Amino acid sequence: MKATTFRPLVWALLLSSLPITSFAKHVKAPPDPRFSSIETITILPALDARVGKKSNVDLQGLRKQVESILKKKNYGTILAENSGGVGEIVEEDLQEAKPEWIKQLGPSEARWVMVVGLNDVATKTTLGSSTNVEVMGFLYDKETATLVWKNTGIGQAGQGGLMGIAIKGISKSEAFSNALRNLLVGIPKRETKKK
Amino acid sequence: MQMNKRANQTAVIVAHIHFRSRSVPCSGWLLLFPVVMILCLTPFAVRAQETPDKAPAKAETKVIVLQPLIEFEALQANARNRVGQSGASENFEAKLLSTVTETITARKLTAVAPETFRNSVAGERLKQLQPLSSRLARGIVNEEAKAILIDLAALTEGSTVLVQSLKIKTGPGGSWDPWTGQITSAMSSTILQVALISCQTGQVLWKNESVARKVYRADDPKFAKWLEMVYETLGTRRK
Repeated sequence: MKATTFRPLVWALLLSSLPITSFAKHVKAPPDPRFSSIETITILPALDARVGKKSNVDLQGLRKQVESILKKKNYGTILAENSGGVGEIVEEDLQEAKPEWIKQLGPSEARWVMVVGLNDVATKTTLGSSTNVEVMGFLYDKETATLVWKNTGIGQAGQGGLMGIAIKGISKSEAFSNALRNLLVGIPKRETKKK
Repeated sequence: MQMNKRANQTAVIVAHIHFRSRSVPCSGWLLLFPVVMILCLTPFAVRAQETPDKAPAKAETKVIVLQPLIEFEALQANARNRVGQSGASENFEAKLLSTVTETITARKLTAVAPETFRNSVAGERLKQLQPLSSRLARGIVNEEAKAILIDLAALTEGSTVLVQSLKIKTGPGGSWDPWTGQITSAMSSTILQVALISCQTGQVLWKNESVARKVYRADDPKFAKWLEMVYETLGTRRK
């Protein structure tokens, strides 16, 4: 069999695949129904779920970073002053949330309520410095009293050598940013901005 | 004779102090007073720290050791998954139970296994308490747990319950980029949380927690040492 015998077949295959690939590029995934109806997300005060010795962390700053990411994804956001009728929240409440508990979360007028928690922060200084951060997030729909979304994100950052020790703070904030970006990666970007 | 001699010596010392007291001015005594007071009180203060809180009431000497909650988690960039490791789980459970039983016995308390109450109402209550282990081991007693504990107090003559939660997280390892100098450290850890709770009041009598930045094996001597460290203060009121 000569190679020329196969040539038309190869061409036919190539040509037939081209329109499909270009078409595939333009096809958008249908919007996730869980997120398409969301108007405004109320972000509750961040939960400190760390174990053991706790270093100082700006939990308010963490919440603001979450707000900033959600805004970039075109979601309207509100920072709530307190957690509402549920009182102090612990991780188990979030993991095993019951409908009656969800309904009491955050302000009474809020429908979509998000809670972000800090699970762990570990900074290591040896030949440089590195920070590991683990965060978790939960989004509830109070109207249906259901969990819409939950996820965990981790962030690692660090720099070797004396420079690493000098810029320890930068590494820490980078680890936080990475963790929050990973946490919220599953929340789709909205097409139109809701206010 | 000897007694007389000692009495004479005491008299001499008293006289000496008396004599010296005349030579020390009044302001000197005022300065010495706080020092003397501190010296007198220090031994008591030290003893107060070392002595465990008053022993639990007789009924509270029974400690029901709940089955430890053991969880294995695999951490990824944007996910945390529970992973089952049945063999390892049993080994960790056995190690935790043996360590805690030894510690309780050493504190002259009685460790009771939940199986003792099998086929009884108390056994049923303990089963209901088991799913709340994660919360209880943190020292968080909600209304649901409190109701069960109060029932248990009546059924078990006011025992205490010891709850343990061990979480083994395996995350990404460390890295080093020779071009940029960027480094990361491993994210694996072992977390132990323990609480001793009074059934009568639902009050947390003692709790402790620790994070080790590594994953232990159940038969690792370092793990045994770490456990001993966590349980070291059991029996003292540390909350």
